[in-house]
Amino acid sequence: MRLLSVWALPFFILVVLICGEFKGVKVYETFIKGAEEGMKTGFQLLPFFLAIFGGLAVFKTSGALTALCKVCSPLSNLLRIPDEILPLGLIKPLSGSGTIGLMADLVKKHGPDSLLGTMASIIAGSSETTFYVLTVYLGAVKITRPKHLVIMGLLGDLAAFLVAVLTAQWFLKR
Amino acid sequence: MINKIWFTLFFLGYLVAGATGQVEETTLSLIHSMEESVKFSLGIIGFLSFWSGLLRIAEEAGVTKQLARVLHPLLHRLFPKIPRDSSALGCITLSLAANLLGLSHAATPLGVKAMRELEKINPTPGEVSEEMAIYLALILGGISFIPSTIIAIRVQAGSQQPSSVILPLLLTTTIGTSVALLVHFIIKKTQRRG
Repeated sequence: MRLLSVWALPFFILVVLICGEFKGVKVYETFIKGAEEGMKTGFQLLPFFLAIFGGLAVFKTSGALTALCKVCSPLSNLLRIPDEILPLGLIKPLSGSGTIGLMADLVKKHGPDSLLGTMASIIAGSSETTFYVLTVYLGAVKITRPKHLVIMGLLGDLAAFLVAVLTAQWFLKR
Repeated sequence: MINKIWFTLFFLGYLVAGATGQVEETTLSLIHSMEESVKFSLGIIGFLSFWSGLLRIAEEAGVTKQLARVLHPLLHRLFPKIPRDSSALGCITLSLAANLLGLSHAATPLGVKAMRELEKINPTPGEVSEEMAIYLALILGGISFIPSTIIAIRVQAGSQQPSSVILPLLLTTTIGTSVALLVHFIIKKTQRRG
């Protein structure tokens, strides 16, 4: 499992480079063009980080987060979810950038390779943002009634969330 | 919704801060967070840019199309009513291939195109069709080989094994997608009976 994860990136990099070379793509120049786009994505994330980190800073330092966690802890204890992780599950279906901001915050605070950091990473990447996807994709064909798709998406999110919590615990034990 | 949540963060935050006498500390940490945000987004730009550069090479080399060719027979089983060579199935495979590779700038336009093709063969235009539901379950599941944003953030936070989450994520997304598909089929069955 560990070996596979270690090799996933280099394998992908080599396969892409070999395919590109083989198909006569100017790999260096194409890379530069694509990297420019990634830079834009990074800068585009800045306002989201500002908003989320700022809001969280106020909410946490004031002591409000501790109070909220106390309110939520019967539910999270029941499901054996760390208190810090529960807000991530709540915001996941609503806002992709919010999820990324919250995950970044947890990873920074607890360390990316800790139990909480790993859990946050897995949850943040574990499904698409249900309400965003349904809005964009159904909006594209002007369908206004999503029927059972909201429930379908949310139950998928819930399953992914619970599996992510378990996987992180199992993964770090090894 | 996100607007209300964000508002609440500040409103409740300062309300509690006032009650507990932590107003000054709270404001200091807010100001500190601004600098943090800038550092953080600069920090992830390196990995994200490298990855976008690599993905551009993949796109030009036709990796998306190759992957689509592999997915095609599999998807034909999930969408038995769509003819094998139709442009609808072609669009679906291409958009899912783009999602698997994490080509986010290509995935959404391809997805929109796939939805339009599905609407063209929709037996009940203006309403969600069976094929759309299955297609959206696959998209919502969010299966992806390389979750580049997550890895970039882990790199920035000083992870020793930033890519260690790839396999757990594949597992999680696969189960999430299966549950969404399962929910769809169960709801469809109960509706038919009722």
